[in-house]
Amino acid sequence: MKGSEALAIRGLTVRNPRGQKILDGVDFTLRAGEITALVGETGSGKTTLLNSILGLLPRGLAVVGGSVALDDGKPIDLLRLSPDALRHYLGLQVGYVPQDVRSGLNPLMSAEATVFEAAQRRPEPARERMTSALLRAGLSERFVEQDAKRRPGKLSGGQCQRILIAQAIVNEPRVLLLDEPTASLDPPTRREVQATIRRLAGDHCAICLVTHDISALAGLADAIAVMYLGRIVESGTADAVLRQPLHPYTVGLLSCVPRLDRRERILPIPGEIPTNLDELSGCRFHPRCGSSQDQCRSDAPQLLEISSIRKVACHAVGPAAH
Amino acid sequence: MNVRVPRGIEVISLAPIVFLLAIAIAPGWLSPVPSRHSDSFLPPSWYESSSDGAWYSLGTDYLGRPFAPVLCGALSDTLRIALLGTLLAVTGCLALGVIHGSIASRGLEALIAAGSLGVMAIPEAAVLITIATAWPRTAPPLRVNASMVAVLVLFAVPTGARLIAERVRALGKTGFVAASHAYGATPFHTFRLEIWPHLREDVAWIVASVLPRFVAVEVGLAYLGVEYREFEGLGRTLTKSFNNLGIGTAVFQMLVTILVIVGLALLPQLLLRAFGLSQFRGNLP
Repeated sequence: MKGSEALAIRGLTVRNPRGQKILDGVDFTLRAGEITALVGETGSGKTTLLNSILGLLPRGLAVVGGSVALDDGKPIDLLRLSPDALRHYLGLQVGYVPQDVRSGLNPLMSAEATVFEAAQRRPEPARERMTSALLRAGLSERFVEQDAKRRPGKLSGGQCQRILIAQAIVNEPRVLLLDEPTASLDPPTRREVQATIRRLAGDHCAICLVTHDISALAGLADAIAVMYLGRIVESGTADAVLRQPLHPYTVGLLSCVPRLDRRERILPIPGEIPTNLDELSGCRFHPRCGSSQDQCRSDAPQLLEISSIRKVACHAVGPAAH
Repeated sequence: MNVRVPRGIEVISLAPIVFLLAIAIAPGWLSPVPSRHSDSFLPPSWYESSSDGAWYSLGTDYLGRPFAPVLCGALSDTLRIALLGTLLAVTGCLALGVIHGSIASRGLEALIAAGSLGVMAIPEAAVLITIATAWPRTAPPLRVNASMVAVLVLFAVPTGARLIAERVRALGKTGFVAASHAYGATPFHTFRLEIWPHLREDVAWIVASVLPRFVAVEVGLAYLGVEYREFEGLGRTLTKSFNNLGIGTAVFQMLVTILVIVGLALLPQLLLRAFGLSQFRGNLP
């Protein structure tokens, strides 16, 4: 049912070998038929969040708290499942499109073989579902008939991206995780892939779209969560977040987007993402924040509900300040 | 499904074919030919006709047998042991390499690194000579031969294992392996489908470097009296034949031998080039 909770992430915390929290109490909900975008700079923890859900964390990183509840009639906490039990849900209930288009496809495998192998997870005839998935991913019938036997090296970036999407949706999962699906595509192809993603959401699929390009989300995402150094700093409907960003980091991200209708200078966010989390206390954004206060250096702000459609983690924008 | 014929397999499959051919040819030619000591060490017939009018394309050996089928029989035995050793070496490289590439254990890394350094620092021939001569004369031949094969295998494993481990590690970081895990494939399925096809070329390269070494070492050391015990391989056949030859015939047979050895050593490399594997490797992650 559209709008129902498909995947609920609560208090997800991941530590690295040095004991630092790479993800710190992340709360996040994916709803059926909606595209929820996860935005942030490189290094903010977006891909780590997806890898935590999929059980693909690199060696050394470990989930130390929280839950990832998949609605399968009753909530199933994916983090509590054994690898074998988790495989029962991966691909069938949760689909995934990896970050890099070229590295995402096996260079020795043809396009149709890539999708076919994933389709074999279900007992139903795989070939028909493979063809259907390729078409639903936006590839033409001509491609399916003539070019699907080609290897990725002979295909364009847009075609490769669609094959990855077809591989992820071939078993019709209820949740789809897309890691930077349009990052390496040219603008027209990006638009086409975005239209495909929009169509998939129309099929009642809950989509999580990870991107660092906040400008690409207008007209695409239904909800946006902004992430900085492993914490969600702002979330809300896409319209609200894009039109009236509240957290200084979101404001900074949007101010980096070039616009043709304004002759303003692009203002980058000062400084860089800190690499040593041990030296950071309080709000993780305070060293780069123009409106930081004394409280920001000592107390980590909680993600608080500002309105029915907004949550912000900032001392300057909290309910009182609001 | 990868429907293309895997190129590495083509190369690997050629070695058993050569081996089977040698077996198929040798016994039929060799067994019915009686030893005629009076005809020992005859030169090739096209160079100097034999007294009884028989035709020996490469002359005769020390027992008066035609040298060509004797060479085939010896080659067959040599290849048999070389293929067994290569199989053991490839298995060792794959097992160690895949485990090391998957779990990235520091202990295993140290072990393989030490092995690689050891292979560079210690001459393989010196170890083989020591092993072969250290056994008492009464020692069972199987044990002596096994120890010599084991040395050759041990020398081949660290370099090959490192090659495989690096490939497995690189593949583990690719998006398609992550995607495979993410669509719920089992680790075995992921290995078979996503990783193994990329290792075939590495295996072909390991075979191409290890197989000729087994042949060359056996033949080369035979001249020093270091050889597999109770084993009529290429090394023993050649050394016995050369020791009592006239200079003209000896030079000719030596040239043929060198051609055989060099051909055996270079065949896998030439095949790799012919199949364009070096170009193919450029596509791999």
